[in-house]
Amino acid sequence: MKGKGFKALMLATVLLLSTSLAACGSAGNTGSTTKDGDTPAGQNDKIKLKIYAAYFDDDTKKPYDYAVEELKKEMPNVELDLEPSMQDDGQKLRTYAASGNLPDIFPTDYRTIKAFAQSKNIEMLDNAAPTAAFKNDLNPGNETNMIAPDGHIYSYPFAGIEFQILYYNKKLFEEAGVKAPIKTYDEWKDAIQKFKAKGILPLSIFSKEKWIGNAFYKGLLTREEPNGYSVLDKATELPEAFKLAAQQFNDLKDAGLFDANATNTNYDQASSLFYTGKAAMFLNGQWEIYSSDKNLGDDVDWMYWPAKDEATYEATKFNMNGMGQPGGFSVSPTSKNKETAIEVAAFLARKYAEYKYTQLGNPIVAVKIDKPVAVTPPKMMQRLIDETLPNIKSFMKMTEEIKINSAFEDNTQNLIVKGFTDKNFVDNMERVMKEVNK
Amino acid sequence: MLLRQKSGSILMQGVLWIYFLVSVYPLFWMVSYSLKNNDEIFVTNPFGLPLNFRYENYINAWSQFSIPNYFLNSVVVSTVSTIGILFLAVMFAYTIARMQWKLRSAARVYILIGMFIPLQVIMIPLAILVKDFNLVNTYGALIIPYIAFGLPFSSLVFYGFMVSIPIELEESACMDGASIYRTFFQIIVPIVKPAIATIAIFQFLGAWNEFLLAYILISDEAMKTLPLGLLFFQGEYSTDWGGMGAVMTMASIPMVVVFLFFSEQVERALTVGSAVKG
Amino acid sequence: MRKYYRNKWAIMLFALPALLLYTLIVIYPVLQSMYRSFFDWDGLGEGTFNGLDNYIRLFNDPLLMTSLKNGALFALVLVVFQLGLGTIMALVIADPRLRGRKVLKTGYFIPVVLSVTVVCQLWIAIYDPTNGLINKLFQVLGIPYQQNWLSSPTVSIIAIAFVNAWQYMGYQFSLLYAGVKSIPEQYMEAATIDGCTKWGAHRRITIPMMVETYKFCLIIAVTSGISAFVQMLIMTNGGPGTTNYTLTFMIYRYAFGEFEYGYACAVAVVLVAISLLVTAIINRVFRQEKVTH
Repeated sequence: MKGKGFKALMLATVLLLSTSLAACGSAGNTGSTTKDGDTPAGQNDKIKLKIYAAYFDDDTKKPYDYAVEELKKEMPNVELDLEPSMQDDGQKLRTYAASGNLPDIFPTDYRTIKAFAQSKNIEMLDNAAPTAAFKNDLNPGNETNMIAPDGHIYSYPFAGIEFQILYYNKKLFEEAGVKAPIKTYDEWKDAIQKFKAKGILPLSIFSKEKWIGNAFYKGLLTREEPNGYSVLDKATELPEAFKLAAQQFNDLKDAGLFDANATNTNYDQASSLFYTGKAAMFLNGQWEIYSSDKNLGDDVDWMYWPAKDEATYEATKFNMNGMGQPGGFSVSPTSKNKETAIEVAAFLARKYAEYKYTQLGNPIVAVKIDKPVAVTPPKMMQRLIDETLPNIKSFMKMTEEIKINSAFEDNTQNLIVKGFTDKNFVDNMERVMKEVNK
Repeated sequence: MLLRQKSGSILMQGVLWIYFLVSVYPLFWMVSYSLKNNDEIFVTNPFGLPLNFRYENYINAWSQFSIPNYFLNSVVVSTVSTIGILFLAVMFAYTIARMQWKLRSAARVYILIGMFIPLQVIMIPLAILVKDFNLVNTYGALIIPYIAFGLPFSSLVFYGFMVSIPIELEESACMDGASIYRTFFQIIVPIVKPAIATIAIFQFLGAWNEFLLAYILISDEAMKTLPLGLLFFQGEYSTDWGGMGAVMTMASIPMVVVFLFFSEQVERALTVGSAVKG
Repeated sequence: MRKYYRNKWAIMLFALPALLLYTLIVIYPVLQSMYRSFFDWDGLGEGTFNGLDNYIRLFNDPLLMTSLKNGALFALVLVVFQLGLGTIMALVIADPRLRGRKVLKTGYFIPVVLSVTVVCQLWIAIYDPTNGLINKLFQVLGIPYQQNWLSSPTVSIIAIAFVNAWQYMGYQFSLLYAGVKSIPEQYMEAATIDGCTKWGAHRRITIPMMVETYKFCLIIAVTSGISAFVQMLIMTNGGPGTTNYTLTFMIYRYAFGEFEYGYACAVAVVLVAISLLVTAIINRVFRQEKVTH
């Protein structure tokens, strides 16, 4: 009798193990056989590269598809194996790096570059073959998107320096008797009262994402301090310009600029408020021009950031609320076809820019494109091209301290909530600055 | 007195049924959600039936990724991990509930630790392990961690059940000369059946809905599980919430069905279980 | 009998597979993380040993206090709601005379079956200050109270904890229900014959007999409160600012957002230590309880 129970147990164990192993085994095998099948003996010159890239909606799929089509013409021997990346705070890419699984080509931002460069998980491209030409073709001012603060190059950028502007609904402005554009801070407060009186939300903001509150703050700040956060490097106290911006932020909030639920509003909700005429203003990057044009047509335009008085407004109009940051396509130092991967990364970055420039009429890209624009850009974009781009005075410069930037994101989001004052803001920021720069 | 009791019980019943509605409403809400667009979801009609049924969310989901394939992967991963957990946990629980060995209570505390481990912090060491064992992009990459992480909770629930079983049953089996294995399989396992059924549901649900590990450890399209389908609807700026709703509905409805089936079993097992004990 | 339970082969056969797998997959990475908590490490490179620096920094980090406070509040809501309501419902539904009990029982479990994402999205809509059900309900009932449920720094953590408590009520309920069901009917009958009311009998017989179940449910509720995370991530992303942070949220932020894996590991060690401590306290309290009975 003893034997029987034992045998049953053993049998079950074996069964369990074998089924799970079989599952693993077969899965592993199918993986490798397809790989073998794809490179039959005769075609060994075909180079396969793994690429990790954003690929989930029109904004990300179209440029990729365009670039891949071009790549087929230019380098027919290269085949890309795409793994779509998701917005996950870089969790997956970091895990790949930590476990030695990095794809040949991957997209990076400044945070990633900083950490990967320290741990040698990213190829330094200073002397790579395509670098000199790429650098030469950069649009003026876009060096910050390519050269990291340590003076080295780790990525080929495709996006230009993007910036945030205030969109407004012309019809709602007219109906409420608000003169557009709003130039001064007092006009702004006055406008808030007028909109509120009509039951219209003055400004919709998707502050569930922390960066947008930060962008709002930077918009105010750049009227006084065009360099932005870079002036804080090594500082332990907030300069006056920062305090003033925080105070304006707080006053505008108290006046009722934001929705009570702003910090729980996502992009879809915030944009819908603006596009359905429930909100008079909307804050986002210049990329929003396309969908606001589609949704509101002639009723929408954008304005420069208001300042404390009209003189300051005129003087700082072209101090853009945006900054260059290194980022783009990078290459893994462990790639088996590193040379090719570097060529492809540079090529793709150029083609992404080319797509945006020629197919969307978007001139805000990293490199110069010599092909003609295939579409008429929306009116608001045309205005940007004619009126703003040639006159840009400055962009902000970033702080190298990731922690200070995170602290700004946290505390600008706090500022949107009633009860959190600019004094709290200053205290919190200075505590972090003292910790970082001690 | 009797009247008061009666009206009290009617009140109680009312409360029970209201809570029932509150518990079941999410099902209705989820299905409605999956047939709406962003505007309806957030602004115009967040709680009611869709004004017009947008079946295209489902068609869209269907065209985005291979649903049958994802579904199959989810079934395989959840089933195998659940079986693995049940098997290992019941046996282990018996050794800490009944068997006499030196490290017995130490082993109980040791397994308890696993209930408190935040996945985020061991993600990177775990990913390295999975790679070292050549499990990346296999069912094993999920099944093995799911089993390991399911053990603490399951073992402790079984332990709780087993310590409350009267020892006389095993004593008499022992007198009859049954082996420990026979006692275990023919006496203990049947008694803890209700617990087994309960844990089976918990663990299956856990594996079925698990997102983080699956997201980090699986990148091969052919190996992905259903929760990963949600990612197809997150845009760079905008998100297709209705499409996500469609995926969530397709992932959840089978679970509800499985649960309805199992809960019947649990109920039956519970009745049998208490009969044995009493 | 003692010899019977000392069968070394059986012990090994029963315990080893679980222990080995668990050690390899769970404990080994945990030990690695503990080791790394003494390093200034970004999770990628070599890292440098920095002794107790991470811990010293942690105890001066204002986020730690926020996280501990939120964890405690979260745990409190879970215990009160799940164990309180769960007990009442388990007792009522265990009464075989109640009509529709099967349907009720199944219904209560439905939220558990749904994924966290679904449930959180639903409650985001319910909590919405303008279109949400709760504020609307207050308006309809003429209660002049309106709240920004998810953006108020004080209320939001409780609102979120409630969502978790509500979703997993069915979970605790089914554990408690199984506990009630496992008490032999005779005990209750005896008590009722002795002249106890139904609820009196429950108080004197059923609940004391469920000590083990309660202990387990309590441990689950408290520790899942301390380590709560996903609901915050989905519903408020930890905000506004960092007001909704918990220990796990800290880990997430430092490990992935700020590239301070060593520091994140120190937070994890504290989290595990607190959980173990709480479990030990609960065990101790319940042991005394048992003695007094």
